[in-house]
Amino acid sequence: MSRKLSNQIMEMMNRKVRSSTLRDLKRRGLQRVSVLDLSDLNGMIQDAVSRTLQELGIGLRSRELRTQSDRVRDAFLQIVQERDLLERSQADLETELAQLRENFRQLSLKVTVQKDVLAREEGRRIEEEGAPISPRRMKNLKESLNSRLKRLFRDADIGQELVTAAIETTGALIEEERRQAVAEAEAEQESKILVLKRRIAKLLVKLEETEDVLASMADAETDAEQKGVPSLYKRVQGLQKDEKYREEKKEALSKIFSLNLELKKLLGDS
Amino acid sequence: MDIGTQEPQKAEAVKEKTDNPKKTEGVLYIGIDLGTSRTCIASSNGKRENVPSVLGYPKDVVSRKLLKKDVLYGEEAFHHRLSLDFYRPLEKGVIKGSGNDNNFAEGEKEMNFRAAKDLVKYAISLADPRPDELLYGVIGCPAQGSIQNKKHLVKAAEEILDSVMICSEPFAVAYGLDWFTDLLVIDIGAGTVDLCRMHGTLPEEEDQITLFTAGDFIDTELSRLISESYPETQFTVNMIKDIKEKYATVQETTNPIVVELPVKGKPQKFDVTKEVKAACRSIIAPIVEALGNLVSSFDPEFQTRLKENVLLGGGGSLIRGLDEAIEQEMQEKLGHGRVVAVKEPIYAGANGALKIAHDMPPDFWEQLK
Repeated sequence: MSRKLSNQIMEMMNRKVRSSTLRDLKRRGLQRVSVLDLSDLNGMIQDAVSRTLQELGIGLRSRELRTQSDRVRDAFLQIVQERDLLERSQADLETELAQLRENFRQLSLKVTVQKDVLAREEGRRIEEEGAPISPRRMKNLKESLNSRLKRLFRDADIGQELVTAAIETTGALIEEERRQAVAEAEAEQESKILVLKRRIAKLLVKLEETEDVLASMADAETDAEQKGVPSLYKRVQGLQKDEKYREEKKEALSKIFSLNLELKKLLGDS
Repeated sequence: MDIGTQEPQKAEAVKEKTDNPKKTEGVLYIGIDLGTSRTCIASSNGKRENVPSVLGYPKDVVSRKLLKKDVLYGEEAFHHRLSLDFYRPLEKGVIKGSGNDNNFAEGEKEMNFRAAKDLVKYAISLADPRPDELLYGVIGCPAQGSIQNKKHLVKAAEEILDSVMICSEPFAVAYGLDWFTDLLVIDIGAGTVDLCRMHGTLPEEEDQITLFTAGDFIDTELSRLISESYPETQFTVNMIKDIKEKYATVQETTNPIVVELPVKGKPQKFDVTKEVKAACRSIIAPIVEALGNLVSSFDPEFQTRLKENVLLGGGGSLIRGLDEAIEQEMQEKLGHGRVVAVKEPIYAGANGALKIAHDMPPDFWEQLK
């Protein structure tokens, strides 16, 4: 027998072992438990393999027998490794699912926040009285005012007319500046709104994609859950040929069936 | 690997195959012990589970939203019972209201029946069955359960199982242990103590006795005794049950049983050793009397054999020293007795029901579909 393979089997079984406390066992109603050493189990597996091979491989030389039994152990290890892999894959999938769910939640939050900002922005009206005039615009305004007033004073008569004209000119200039400032602010707002809308559209696309992935993972999970744990039996059993007290059991089972058939008829009648 | 009282399952191919176009991937056998206090299942996919036989439905929309479920079962239901319409649908081993008594209003009967059905459904789901496998189940019920009770159990299960049978609970215990003859079975549950005489065939009515001095009776006794000894204490039946499950004993030499109980809202320590022992001992005399009836009405040539082989099972068998105490009482009243406790009292009934399901011929299952 291959010692290396034997050690590998032991390692695999050790990884599969699940520990329990005396308290847990008592809670489950177990007062006495039977204990089986893993090395004994390992020994039993090897004995079973060897015996089966001996029965099936009559005529094989001992070296060939050893090779066959190693092959069987390899197959056993492969099965256990595949099971390990499946369990790990499942654990990985669950982690990925949890991460996706978190991403989905974060994205939904971002979309909500952006939508709020957009709503606020769209609702905000650029008030003409409140529209700020930038320093550059103020500088331009002063230069324009200066040059216009100079022309005015150069061409017009000095007196009240001049003063009135000056005030009107100033007023017109400020009015002009204010209109331009409002237009600028509105243009800026529109540009902001456009950016927000594009951002929201992108987030929504990402959200939809994450939702699709989550939905497909949920379907896969449901399928896996609905699979259930398969029974040992592919076919309906019945009493075995070498069953202890076979005849007595056969009779008892027959009586149980008759009583239940009677019960079924009563159920049908009621 | 489950090493317990079950024999290793033999994977031989069998005679007939059950053909069902929708469920062709195999057959899952389930043994169900629907107890007053605890429901246990054992199935042929290796699953063995147990759950307290209680459940609850959220009282209103608020509790429904909080609990996020339509039905809660077992410990979870118990934990949230104040927010639930709480049910313990079984009493004395059968569905409440399923007998001919008039103690329940029609609406109450309906709700108990619905709760029992939901409990059975949940118990079966614990076996994690595949949708493409046939489900064949055997349910253990009290030795002398009435036809009405059995009808309701079948009705509860047949919506979920493809085929279902009822059998006597103590018989199932014996069957599971392959002990078919010269045996007296005592199955101590919460609602009933079922006694059954095995003599190589299916027990008849005269071979079975059901007593109601069981686990719930001990709770009532214990409550009464503690109230008498310490009238100032406040407690509920659930607290008493917890004390019983933790400390139940009939042994003379035992550590003092000291528990905390509130007095006017403040917890205080009380020594209840005497009370616990007395409450637990209260079921011994009726059991031995019933054993005596079963022995004395049997063939005199085989009476000694029966007394030699008394099997103690069910949750009540976990009372420390009960097997020895029953033996002693049998020595005094019947001249002789030997009592053996099953290794896995909680699952003995379910294991036996599973074995019966496994051994039942295929065509019997077909006819009951």
